[in-house]
Amino acid sequence: MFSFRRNKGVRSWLDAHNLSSVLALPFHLMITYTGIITLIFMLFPYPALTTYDNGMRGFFNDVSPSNNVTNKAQGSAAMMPINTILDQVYTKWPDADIRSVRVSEPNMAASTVTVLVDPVKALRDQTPRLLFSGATGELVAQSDDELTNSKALYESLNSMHTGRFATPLLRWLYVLGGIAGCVMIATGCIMWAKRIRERNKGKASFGLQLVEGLNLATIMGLPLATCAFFIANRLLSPTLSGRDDKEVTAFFLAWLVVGVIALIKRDKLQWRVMAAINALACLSVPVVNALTTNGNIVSYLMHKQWALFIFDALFLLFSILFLVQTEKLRTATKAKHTLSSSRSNTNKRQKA
Amino acid sequence: MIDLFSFSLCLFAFNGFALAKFNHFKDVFKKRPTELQRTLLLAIAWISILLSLAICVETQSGYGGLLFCGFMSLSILIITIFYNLLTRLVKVFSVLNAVLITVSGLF
Repeated sequence: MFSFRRNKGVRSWLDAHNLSSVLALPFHLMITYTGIITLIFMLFPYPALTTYDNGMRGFFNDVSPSNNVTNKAQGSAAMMPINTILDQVYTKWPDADIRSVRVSEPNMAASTVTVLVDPVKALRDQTPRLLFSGATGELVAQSDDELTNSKALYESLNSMHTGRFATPLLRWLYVLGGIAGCVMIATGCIMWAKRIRERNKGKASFGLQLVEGLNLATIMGLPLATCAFFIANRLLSPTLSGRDDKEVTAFFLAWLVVGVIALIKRDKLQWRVMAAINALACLSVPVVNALTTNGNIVSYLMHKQWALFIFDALFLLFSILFLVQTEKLRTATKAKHTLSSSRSNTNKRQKA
Repeated sequence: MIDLFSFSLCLFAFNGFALAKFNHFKDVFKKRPTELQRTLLLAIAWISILLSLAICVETQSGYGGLLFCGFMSLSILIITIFYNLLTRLVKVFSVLNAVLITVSGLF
């Protein structure tokens, strides 16, 4: 289970595949099953469609805290002091750790103040909340304190998938599981293609060529597409209409370009070129961010904006990893050429 | 600190599981393990991992169960790195692991 044989060709890929699979097996099982549960209303909407007159909307209105008091209020009204609302929050939940306070339609009769409280490691996806009228301070809606069995089961499975409840430690463990999953898929794909090529003694059928091309397109194309998405986010004008769609278009366009190139040519040189392009793209993300916004990796560190800092740091790390891959592919190609030239020299001497 | 204690127990367990295998024991100690040594290592490993799970679930319920799965993944990764790339440091690593269990358990 713990073995990893280096520089052994297909056996190394097999070990990497086995290790990455076993390493995060509980995570894979959990994330797959909870992913199905998260989409259950899309996959199986029929109970809600038959029970509620307005289908899924009626179902979601029933299970979510709803506001029927202030919706019809008209005109303007002064806001209640926030202490009036906070007193009610702490009376209900004395140890409440308030995550955020949202105010909508301020200084209007229909204004609402929503107080969201940290669920503190409970397996709940929907943050416990209290909804107050901003004008009168009256509690108008609240999330359920005690969940029914079915709701508790759905909430806990959904929360495990989204991971929103998780502390930074568990979030990083989720990242480890996710990366292990990617490594599992990538090593499996590459190992399969290498084995078939070895079995066919270097001759590639159409199917094998297609698989090798798709391997290159997916494994090297997806990171590049991700970089293209984030770079587009920074470079597109904020006032551009359909901006979000254009970001998605940038993602798929980059992926398509890599896909087309991969299907035309898919040798080791192409992998090296793609690795170098990915290294450059990953480096570009924090650089473009620094050039187009007021923040950069140094300022995020100084101001302890950890999410932004880690985002930039990870892209820099991936840039380094892609550079390492470029170099390894270069030395592997060089070693192969040296070996094949020494073999041909030996054959020539033997013939002579 | 309780998270560190659970994690170090989990890491210790997988260290035991690894050493219980012939090839890894031989890489570290330059000789094959006896049956008694293997049985002892497996027993300690199982006790350690079950203790880690129990502590995670007892202190943090469902969240602890999830955390335990993460601890297992991280432990396997660390053990793999040591037993394949840093084999000569396994003994030092094992001692440090035991110290970590003691320190984190005390506090």
